[in-house]
Amino acid sequence: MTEKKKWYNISMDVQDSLVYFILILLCGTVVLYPLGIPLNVTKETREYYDALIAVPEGGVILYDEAYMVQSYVTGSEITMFRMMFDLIREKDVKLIIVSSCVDGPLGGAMIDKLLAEGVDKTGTTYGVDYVNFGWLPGFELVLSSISKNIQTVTMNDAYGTPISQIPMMKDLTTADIDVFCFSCSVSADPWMRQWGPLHKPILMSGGSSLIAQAMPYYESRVLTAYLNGARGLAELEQIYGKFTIATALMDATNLASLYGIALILYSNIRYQMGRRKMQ
Amino acid sequence: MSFIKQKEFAIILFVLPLLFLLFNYYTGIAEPAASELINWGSYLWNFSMIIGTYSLFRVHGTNIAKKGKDWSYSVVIFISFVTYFVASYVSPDVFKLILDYIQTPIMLTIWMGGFATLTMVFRGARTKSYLGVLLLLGSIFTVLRMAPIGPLIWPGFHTIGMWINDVPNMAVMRAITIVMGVGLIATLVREILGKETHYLGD
Repeated sequence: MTEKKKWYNISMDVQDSLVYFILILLCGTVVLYPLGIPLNVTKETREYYDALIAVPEGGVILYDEAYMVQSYVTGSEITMFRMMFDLIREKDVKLIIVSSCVDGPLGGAMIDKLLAEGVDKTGTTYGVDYVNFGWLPGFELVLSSISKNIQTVTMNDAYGTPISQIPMMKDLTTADIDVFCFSCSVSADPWMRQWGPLHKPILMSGGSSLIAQAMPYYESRVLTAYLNGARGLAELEQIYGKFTIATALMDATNLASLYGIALILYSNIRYQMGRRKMQ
Repeated sequence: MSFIKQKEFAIILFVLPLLFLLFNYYTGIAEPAASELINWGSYLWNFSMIIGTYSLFRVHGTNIAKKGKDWSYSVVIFISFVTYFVASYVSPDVFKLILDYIQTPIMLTIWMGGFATLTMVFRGARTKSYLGVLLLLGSIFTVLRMAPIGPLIWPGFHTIGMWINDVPNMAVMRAITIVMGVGLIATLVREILGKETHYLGD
């Protein structure tokens, strides 16, 4: 006689569909009804913010945008760009933006989108206060080139203007760059290899798994400060005072994290119960 | 046999610039030449894209000519390639349209690990030993450290999560980084001696 099927003994495909459906339901709910769970600013984000605003008057920041495609869609790095443009206005800082993204020209597209849609450029002049090199092929070759001589990284900027005709690039050397920033989704090793020997402040923002991999560099102070993935970007907005989608995504992150843990516990409890039943 | 066709010539072409860059790194002599050599690396990268494009055309062109397996997808590849390529030069608006509404969603779908991770967690995260339990507990504490709600439920999640990040994780990552560095040096020595020829396609 066959045993009566329990209601939770459903097929694998249905289980998967149920898992996805609940996830979509949870994340969709917070879109309609934000929870507004408070976010405390951690020491790491505070360090990042302090290191960025500590750039001296008239200093130079180099920013390498190499984050993943999610950044292009969500524009979650808008806050960093806004902070840097505030520094341009307040402290006459110069900004060099480049992308060595392994995803290809999408890195350059990310920069264009952030500059076009997210940043208030009033009071700044392209070529005098900031320059965009765009996406450059070669990944670590670009980083190596930057560390050797910023003048030889590329012949033209992202818009075809020769570097020699850009006012802020005249007589600029790598040694003049005060702060190196990068965002990435792959290992931090290439940036550390190429920029570490320059002994300048290096700031990183990247995914949570990347932070774990970069901890030795942070401990030995090769890496000055880091943002802790999506949470770090949201914390930066807490400090800056203007909120974007990075903060809005935190509610969904909270629920998805709890949901993932609940799934782990559920699957383990079911597995152990099944083992005991077989014994 | 012509010397240019011999393997030794290719190895010399590889090793000489390598030695020059090493020499420049440790002595600082001939800096402009070294910078130019590194830039040539980027130029080679671009040439490799041309080779890749040729290879793509050859493989899929042959597939279409012979009406091989899934040859219709090869036609799609050709049309997509040409459209994207022409649009990037002729019409930046169309290029941006393709980037925003076709390429980006496709890339997002490929890179979106959320659903796959959940399935993996649901089906595969089953502990069969005490070490497995330890690993899972570490993962849970790490996740709750990263999620803002974790410290709100219990401040200990942040404390323990940070300890896991700063102590055992740091120790292991340090060891891995050092081993990787030693491995890189060993590979470099083998390449200089001509014993490592993976770049020749061996």
